[in-house]
Amino acid sequence: MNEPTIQIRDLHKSFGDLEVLRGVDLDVQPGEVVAVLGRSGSGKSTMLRCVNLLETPTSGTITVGGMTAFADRKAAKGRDLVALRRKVGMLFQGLNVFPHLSVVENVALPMVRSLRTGHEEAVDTAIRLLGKVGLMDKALAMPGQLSGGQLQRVALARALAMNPLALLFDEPTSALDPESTMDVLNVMKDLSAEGMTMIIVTHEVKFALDVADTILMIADGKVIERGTPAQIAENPQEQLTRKFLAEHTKFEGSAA
Amino acid sequence: MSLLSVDWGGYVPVLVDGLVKSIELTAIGFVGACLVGFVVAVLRMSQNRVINAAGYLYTELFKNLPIITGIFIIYFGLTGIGLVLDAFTAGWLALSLFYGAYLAEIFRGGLQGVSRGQTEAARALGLTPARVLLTVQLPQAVRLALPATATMLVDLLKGTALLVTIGGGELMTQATIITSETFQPLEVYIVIGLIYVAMSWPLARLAGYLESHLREGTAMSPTNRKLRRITRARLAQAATATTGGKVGR
Repeated sequence: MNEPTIQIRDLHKSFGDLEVLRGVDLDVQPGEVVAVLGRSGSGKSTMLRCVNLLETPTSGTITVGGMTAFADRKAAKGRDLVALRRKVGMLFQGLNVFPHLSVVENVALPMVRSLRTGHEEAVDTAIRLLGKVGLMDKALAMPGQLSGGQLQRVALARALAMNPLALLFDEPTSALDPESTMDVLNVMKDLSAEGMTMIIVTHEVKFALDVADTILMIADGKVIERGTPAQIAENPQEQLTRKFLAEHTKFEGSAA
Repeated sequence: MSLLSVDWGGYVPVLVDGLVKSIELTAIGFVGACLVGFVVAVLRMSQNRVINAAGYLYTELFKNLPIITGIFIIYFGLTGIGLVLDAFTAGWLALSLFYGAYLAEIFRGGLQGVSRGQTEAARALGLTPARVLLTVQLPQAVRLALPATATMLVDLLKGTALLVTIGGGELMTQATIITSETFQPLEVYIVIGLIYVAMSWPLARLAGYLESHLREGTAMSPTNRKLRRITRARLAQAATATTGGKVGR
């Protein structure tokens, strides 16, 4: 009875005439970390955004935690949509911490407003999660006083506060400097070690190979290759995968 | 020769009456303008072309029509179709309609100034559309729109003086009456002018004060203040626990 946390079947998505996703299948088991690699414009972000219906698929089916997000060309609406989004947390490339709220409010307020958590409990959870991402001392700071890496960790604490079944990461470190990137990646690694289910769209190939259980290589809206990090790194089957890995490890490789 | 030749003491009741009318007109006119502005801003942001066009026509019409013309149409013109309004009602109505058009543009700018990433993040957290608007969009839009809105409030206060043309009973109307009785236009209008300055200036200062507070992140709602208060208490507890009961900081 091991039902996948996230199940995607034959997912298609077009923007007008542009076909971005052309039949993607993916099962994410509880506790599994899937890293999605691919060039910009390959459709990997769109696939991720379809999972919590920030984009409405054109066809296919998506289920999250046993709940149907999309099927028969119909997307979950109203209460179902809100319930679906509470099941999956998401981290974006842009730093989307709410600038008018202090750090602790960013984490606690959505719990109060959306889960109807009591104020005291929400703050306790927020402080615990801020501690987890190493920012307890910034609880009362305003987002304007934080660095990019700190903001992204606040966003992560905020997503965790909703107690999600899974987390979606849409290139969370693309806007960060190397040091901040390391801070965020380290927290993500801790989460994976704790058994959090995650789909990570990233350009950090080394990190993906290190942390993921499964690597998904996407090109032109299709999964061209999938396997364990060892399979992908040591014996990629597709020419495109080989090329992509070579490009993304070139500088790191030359330094070794 | 005395510095003041008008017997101002005798005019105090008249001035107070005018002052109260001016403040009432400003307050009612501004509340009306905010309501009109909010509705028109929402129309202007609609995806529906007809609704959007209605909002567009409204703002363009009132932005390009002289206020005084609007006041005359409402006060004198509408009597032609049997709608007789007193000067006070016609006054605040005209100010609401005109300043509503200006505020609509300001509010729209504020709402559009909140980035898509903000609303997306809020939706991804599982907030309902109403909560996204109330918790994330509006508070940020208000902060963006506040300086220009405050400028409009001060402008509206000064704009009430236009109602002298229909005998609105406000400060400027009283000034013309005092002038006709004392034949001292220079002194009267300078004194009245100073009263307007004395009202406008603190209003502008208040807006600036509010703005700087919001920018520094002062919590607006009781819930937000409560969350911060609990946090402060919890952090203090944690600090005393780790320093072995010593008074921290």
